[in-house]
Amino acid sequence: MIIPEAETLLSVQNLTAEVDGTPILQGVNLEVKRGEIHAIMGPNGSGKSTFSKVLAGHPDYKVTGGSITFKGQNLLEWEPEIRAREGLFLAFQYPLEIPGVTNSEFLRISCNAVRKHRGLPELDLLDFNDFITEKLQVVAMNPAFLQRSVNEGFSGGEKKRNEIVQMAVMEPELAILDETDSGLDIDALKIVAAGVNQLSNERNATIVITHYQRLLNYIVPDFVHVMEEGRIVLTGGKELALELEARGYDWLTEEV
Amino acid sequence: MTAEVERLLHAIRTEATERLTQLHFPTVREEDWRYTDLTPIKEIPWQQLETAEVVEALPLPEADYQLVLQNGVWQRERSVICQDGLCVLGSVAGVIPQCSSVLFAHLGQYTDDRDYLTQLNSQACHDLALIYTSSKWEEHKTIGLHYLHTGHHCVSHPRCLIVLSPHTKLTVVEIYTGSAVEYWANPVTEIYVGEQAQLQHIVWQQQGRSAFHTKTTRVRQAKHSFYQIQTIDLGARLSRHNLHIQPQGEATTTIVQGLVSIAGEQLADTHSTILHSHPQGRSNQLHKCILRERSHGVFNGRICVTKAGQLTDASQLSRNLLLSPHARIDTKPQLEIVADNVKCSHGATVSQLDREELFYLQSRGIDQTTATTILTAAFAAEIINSIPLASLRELLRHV
Repeated sequence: MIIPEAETLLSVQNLTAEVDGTPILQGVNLEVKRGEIHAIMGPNGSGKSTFSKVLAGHPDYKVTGGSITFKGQNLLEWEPEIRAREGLFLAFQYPLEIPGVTNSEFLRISCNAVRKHRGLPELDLLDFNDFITEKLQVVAMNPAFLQRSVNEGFSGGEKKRNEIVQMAVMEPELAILDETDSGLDIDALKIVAAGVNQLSNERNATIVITHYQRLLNYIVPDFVHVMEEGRIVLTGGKELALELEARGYDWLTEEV
Repeated sequence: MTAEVERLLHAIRTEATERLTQLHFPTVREEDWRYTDLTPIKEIPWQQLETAEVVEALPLPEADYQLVLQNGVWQRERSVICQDGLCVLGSVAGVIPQCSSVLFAHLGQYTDDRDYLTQLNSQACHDLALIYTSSKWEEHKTIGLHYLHTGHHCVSHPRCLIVLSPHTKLTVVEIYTGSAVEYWANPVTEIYVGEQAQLQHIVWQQQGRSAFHTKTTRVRQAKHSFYQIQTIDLGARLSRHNLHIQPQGEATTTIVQGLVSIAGEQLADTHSTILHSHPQGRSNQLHKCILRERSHGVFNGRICVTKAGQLTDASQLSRNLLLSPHARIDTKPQLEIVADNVKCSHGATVSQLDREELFYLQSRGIDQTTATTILTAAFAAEIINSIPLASLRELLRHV
């Protein structure tokens, strides 16, 4: 939702970044205010995923210019874990499997790291149990998944749901969903989208990165941005997504 | 101790003394000792001493019986023994006649006559611990064998014989620990697993960080028997485990799991041999090393299949996690196969922590140090989780 006079949560200015010496982002500008849902669309290789990794602080991506301000502070000065604790969350396009670490342990350590940073009391096993039971309901996740290794042997849909559980646990102010719809059938997509919508409120914001318009039927954006060759080349309302769906991305190169 | 047992031990000592004149202390010039230099052990003037200082045993709440040996000497008052259908004795001094025949049948029968360290142990063999299940024994008990060490420049050569009669089951946990001084433990454990018997064997080595630890384990398996050994090496400045397993009949099952987790200047060396000389033997070996700082892991795993070992199914995997650019691993899986109808596989991997996994954890608010601890524990979990004792699993969860 667009709220008049809402505080700016994220401000990206003229951001350039490279990976292994290859420039990917070539001057990204984006402003996200509390309450808003932004969609970033664009063809493969346009830099969408790189942008999300740079925001989260992946060590392989080197920022070469520009600035990222998050809640008025310089995001680039923070290690990835500080960004997470400060309220920036990235739902991975390909969530990793970590054999040998149970999901419940992972979620509890993550939860308490975040809570400690925010000056909240850490949750013991019992309190965490109650806490997580509630969070699982956001995406109707079976509690049996808590006892399994993180994402190990999960289906594509289960992994994406697990990402949303992590999001629910960490209670971010800015959530970035990187191709969360990829590999999901329509039922799983609806569940994930409903979870994201349930977690959205006027205090936080969401950036949905997607190649297809489909997800935006369920997570309705306030703004749609089109990324191409490492830049945001076009910004519009939710109707822009439908236009892209109908016409593809090629017409942009001609018109822009 | 009966006169005949006395004579048996005397004979073992005399033979060893003779053999030692033909042998020499291992040096790095020998292939088997290339990476493990025993020169520091050789140069220290070792003494065998009983000390008054009491070393605390590590906890093992699941143990039904326990033997405590300090510097190789049985601590009767700290042990819980049994001399029923199950014989758990820290010393053969009080051995009943029925069990003494076990000593005659098995003691010194499976050791290597040419191995210097074994013969050193035999030369000092004035007594030993005995664990024996009679064929009437029907329960499955857990026995803790606590080897405690202390005393500057003290050496001990503890000896243990484990014999399982046909169809019996047992879990034996050997625990090695000690003080921070420079001592040397040179234990020998001989094991016979009878027909269709099942032995779960765990060796938890948590010696003091200045200690030298050279262990020999020799195992014989009768047909259709099951033997599982899990070794956890965490302590000692230098540790070496010579493990030798040989089936004596067909269709045996052998599971060997080793976990090494060391740091500083520690060295942990595992040399294992599984000799499939009978048909239809199955063995599965997994050896994992976690190496930090300047530590050094050595693994040499031989699997031999003789002509008689048809239809052997043997697999071996050595996986190594290097957490520092200065850590080192020398791993050498060795398959020697003569039989033509077998299924054997082996492999070795050396890796660092996965950057993507680290980033995934960091992106969930977990700092790098904690993330490293979590991922390292996950690497060890494959072995830790299959230890059949809950208390040990819990204790070793963050090795």
